[in-house]
Amino acid sequence: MSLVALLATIGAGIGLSAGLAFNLRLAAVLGSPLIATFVTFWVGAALLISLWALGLDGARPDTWPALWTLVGGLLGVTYVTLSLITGARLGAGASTVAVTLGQVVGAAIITGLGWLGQTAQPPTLAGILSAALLLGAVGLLAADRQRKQQ
Amino acid sequence: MIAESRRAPFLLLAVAAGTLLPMQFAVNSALAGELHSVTLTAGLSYLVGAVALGIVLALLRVRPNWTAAATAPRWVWLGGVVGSAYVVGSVVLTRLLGAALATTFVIAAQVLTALALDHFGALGLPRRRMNRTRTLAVLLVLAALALRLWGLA
Repeated sequence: MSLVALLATIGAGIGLSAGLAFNLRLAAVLGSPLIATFVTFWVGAALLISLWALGLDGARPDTWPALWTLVGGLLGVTYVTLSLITGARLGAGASTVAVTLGQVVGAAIITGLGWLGQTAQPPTLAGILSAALLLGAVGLLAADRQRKQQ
Repeated sequence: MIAESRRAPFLLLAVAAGTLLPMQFAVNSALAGELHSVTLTAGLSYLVGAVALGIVLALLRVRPNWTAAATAPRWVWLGGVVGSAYVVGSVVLTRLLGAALATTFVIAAQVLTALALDHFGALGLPRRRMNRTRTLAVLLVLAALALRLWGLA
């Protein structure tokens, strides 16, 4: 595992978990989790496009990207909205475990079949076991959080 | 307690929502391949999402409580900064390793970070210290990573 991959993993993990905590606080203040997400998306867009404009990385693209590659943000918004709905109906614990199941199954299918520009890699036994262990960890954390709340 | 039959559609919906995340990894990774810049890729992804969410909010006529928001600590506005690390990190990882492995690593890092934030009660979260259940969760995450990195040798 390269240093870049390690840094990206740590950045993504902290970004996701800490970002969720920020969003919870902002949602409590603004009175709506969707508006909190709206603010978060604008702040992220402004920061990242500024960093790019300052020449932090990469060359200037000379052609327009294919339209389908631009829908990542739409998937993100749909995810946030659906997870808010299911979280409200199922409770955060069950919803998180179900979302994680979707994540690992979706990832295995997309990579297994080489969809959306991915290089096809058939799932391995080690990969499936690894996904099951992760689900177990997420389930334990969710169960422990709920027990303490009662 | 909600009847199981009424929970089932929402469980399915939550699983479906989860599949959107690796799809987003793959789509953003394809965009980065075209733009040759992870910051522009992540920025555009956020921008498209922000515009779409603006339309949804307008349709739902959701109004924010800006007066209460003005009294909140300043740091609550910076979620987009840490969120940026997530989007950039996920794009870099997916380009390096593919969506399947990237998803495993991100879930693992997310669980470990959540346990650490809980333990210290950071960012306004209620303090929940490490205990036997949580230690077991750490061990499962480490075992999952070891399996992915070194396989079933």
